[in-house]
Formats: sequence, structure tokens, C-alpha cells
Amino acid sequence: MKTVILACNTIRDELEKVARETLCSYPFVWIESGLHLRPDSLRRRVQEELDTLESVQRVLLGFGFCGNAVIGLRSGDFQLVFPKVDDCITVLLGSKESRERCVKNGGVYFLTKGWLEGEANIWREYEAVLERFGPERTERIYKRMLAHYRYLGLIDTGAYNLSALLPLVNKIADTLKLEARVLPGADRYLKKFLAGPWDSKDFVIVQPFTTVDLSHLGIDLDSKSHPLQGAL
Amino acid sequence: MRKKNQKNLTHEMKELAALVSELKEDEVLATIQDHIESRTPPAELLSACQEGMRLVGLMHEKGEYFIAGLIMAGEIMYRAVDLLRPVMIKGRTGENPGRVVLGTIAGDIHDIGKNLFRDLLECHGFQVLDLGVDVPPAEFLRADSDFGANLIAASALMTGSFPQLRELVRLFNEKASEKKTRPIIIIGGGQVDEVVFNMTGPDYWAPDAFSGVRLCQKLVAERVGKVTL
Repeated sequence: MKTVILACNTIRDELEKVARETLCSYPFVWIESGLHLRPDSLRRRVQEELDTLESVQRVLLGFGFCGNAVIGLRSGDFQLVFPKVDDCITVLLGSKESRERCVKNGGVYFLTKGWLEGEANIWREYEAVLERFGPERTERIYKRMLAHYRYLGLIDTGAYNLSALLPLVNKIADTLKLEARVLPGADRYLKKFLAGPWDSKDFVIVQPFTTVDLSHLGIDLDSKSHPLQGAL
Repeated sequence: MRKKNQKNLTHEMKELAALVSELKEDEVLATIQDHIESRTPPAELLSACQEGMRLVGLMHEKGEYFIAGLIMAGEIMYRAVDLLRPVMIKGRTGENPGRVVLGTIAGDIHDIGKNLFRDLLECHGFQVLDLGVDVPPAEFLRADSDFGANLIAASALMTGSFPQLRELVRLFNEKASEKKTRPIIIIGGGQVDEVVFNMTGPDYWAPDAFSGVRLCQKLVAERVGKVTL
């Protein structure tokens, strides 16, 4: 079955590493990082790439739900498969359980090299905000933005030189008043993503010529009775 | 609707909206203070701020503002609301418009919109019990039994937390099975839409903090305080 991987550039290092290790030879198409900040833009961009694919039977989509960006995507004459996770952090940590363990003592703002190199990331944004608003307002903004975060967690995915990044991560953590932590990554999910089996526990499987809706994400759409109705 | 609102703003209020959209906090607050002193109706000032926030939202969609821009706009709104709250409360006739139990649902810690919604509700005289973030559905139920809300408002941004919204509705319906009534349940949040509304089964949804407040005001004005099952 001819398969193409359409994935986010943020997790490129990790996907390429696992592809080498698993001898995966499917071609990659990369989507630029940072679009998850605006789910509508991400959806349009991914759809644009999906619409150009020809003679493909399966597309492995290397994204999480990304703020519902996957809702509304339409498969062509191919099956669409993507991880059943809110975002790719869960994929890099190996499982939902690992992620839950990471956050049980306080909120974690997760990072990898891919995020720090992305077009839009927390540090670039911080520097731009500081320049525009000055230190007092910047402190107020980040106090509010990170109110429920305690840690800055660098995920050790094994796909990049961790020690080279630590000075920057420590600096970001100090500036943002977070505790820097290195969190162990796991490639279990990534390997399964590239090699299968694509079971419904870990993956959303969308059949050809189908539009993704919430029911595909494992959330039922059974009708509910509304004593009252609608939005204002 | 929005275009009409914008058209109805006076030149001065359009200028205030522009200052909000440019995130010029000091100028916004000084302008509001001047208008309060010259007895401009606070509702007009609030509408102008709302228009400014709408423009900020559009700029964020276009990629001109990061999340920090939205938060700065929220900061400006919080402070604007602080200035307007005493004037608005003073101008009211004493009738309590409603009691709201509010929180970000379990599995989610996003609260920028929720906090703005809370401040706007208070500004309009609602009594609000804010349960914070990552609130289990049962906690809403417990809080309501003490607080006696006529509106329950839950926000969610993460897709994975949507089933918790449904659980919230289920719990309130179950609890209400004896009394045959329960508070109205409203949901909101950046990704909440008609589909999520249909999936989770509350009574109403609102796409943003401002429309959420208008919805609450409308429900209270129509004296829809409880849902009869």
C-alpha cells in the first residue's frame, strides 16, 4: 500500500530518527511549524497538501488534534491515519499515562529542540513582547500566561544533543520563573505511527472520501435532548 | 451584527476601540477615566472596548499578534472593567441579575477567556463563584449545592476535555431527577462550536466572553433561571 507521511516540522528530528531505526522508507512531506497556534490556518495548510496527493493509498498524518485543527479535514482516495492525542507532546512522551505522570505535580510547559527552532516559540515570543511592552508589562503577561505552569520540561527524545540546549532552557526557565526539568521521551508511539499496527486505541483511522469530525476522535456524537437550545 | 455595532460607535468610541486594538494600556485607561468623569455611559465605553477586543482577535487570526497580544488585551480589559465596575454597579437598580458557578473543565488549564468572562459578569452585577481550572464535573455540582447558582458556566479548549463537559451535564441531570429542575448550563471556549454543543448536551454555548455575558443577561432578563426536565 503506497503510503505518504505528512507531518509537522516541529517533530522532524524525532520522526527522521525513528524512520532510520525502523527502516521506514515512506516519503515525508513537511508542514511548517507554528501553525497550531491558529488551528484554522493549520487545517487549510494540511488540506492543501492532502489535495495534491495522487496515487496514494494511505496518509500518515504526523499531528495531534492540535486545537481541533484536524476537524473538517477531508481524505481523498486514501485512508488517513493520525495519533489519537491532543498534541504531539503525548507522542514524544510515549503515552498518555507518561504525560499524566509528568504533570501530576504541576503544569509543565513542554519543549524540544524542534519547538525552540520553530517559527513561533515561547522564547522568541518573549523577546518580542519584552521589546514591545517593556519589563513590567511583560512580567504581568507571562505571570498570567503561565499561571498554571510550574515546570519547563525539555523532552529528551534522543534525537538531538540535549546538553547543548540546556543552557538556553535554564535561561528561559529562570526568566519565566519556572523550574527546568529534563523529561524522558519514548519512541514507542512514534515507532507504531511509522510501522503500525494502527489500532483504534492509539490512532484515528479515517476512511477514503471522509470528513473528520469529533466522532473520529473517539468522542460520540449521539444526539442529546436540549431543554433549551442554541447560542445567542 | 458586529458591523452594525461598529457603525453605531461614535468617533470618540472608535478611537477608544483603536487604542485597545493597539494594546495601548495607559492611553486606554486614561481615556476611559476622562469619559467616566464626563459622564459618558459606561455601557458605551464597554462596547468600545469590546470592539477593540474584536479587532485584537482578528489581528491574532492574521498572525499579527501572538498569544501574548491576546493576554495583553485581556489585561487592558481587566483594568478597564475595574474602572467601569463601580460606575456600572452604582447605576444599577439593586436587582441581582444572577448567580454563576464558573470554571475550566477537568483536563484543561486554559483560563484567559474564562477569567475575562468572570470579570465582565461581575461588572454587570452577577455574583460569580469561580472554581478555577481543571475542575471535575462533580466539583461544579458540590459548589452549586452551597452557592445556589442559576447558571453553570464551563469552559474548555482541549478536545480531550470535551467528554467532561458531557459528564457535567449528565451529573446535573441526574441530580435534578428528583427536583425536576437544574441550573442552566452554558459552555464556551476557543474551540467550542455547534458540534461540541450538540455532542455535550448543555443548554447554550457562547463563542467568546462578551457573547457569553450577553447570553447570561438575556437569560436572566427572560427570567429563565432553571431548566425544567
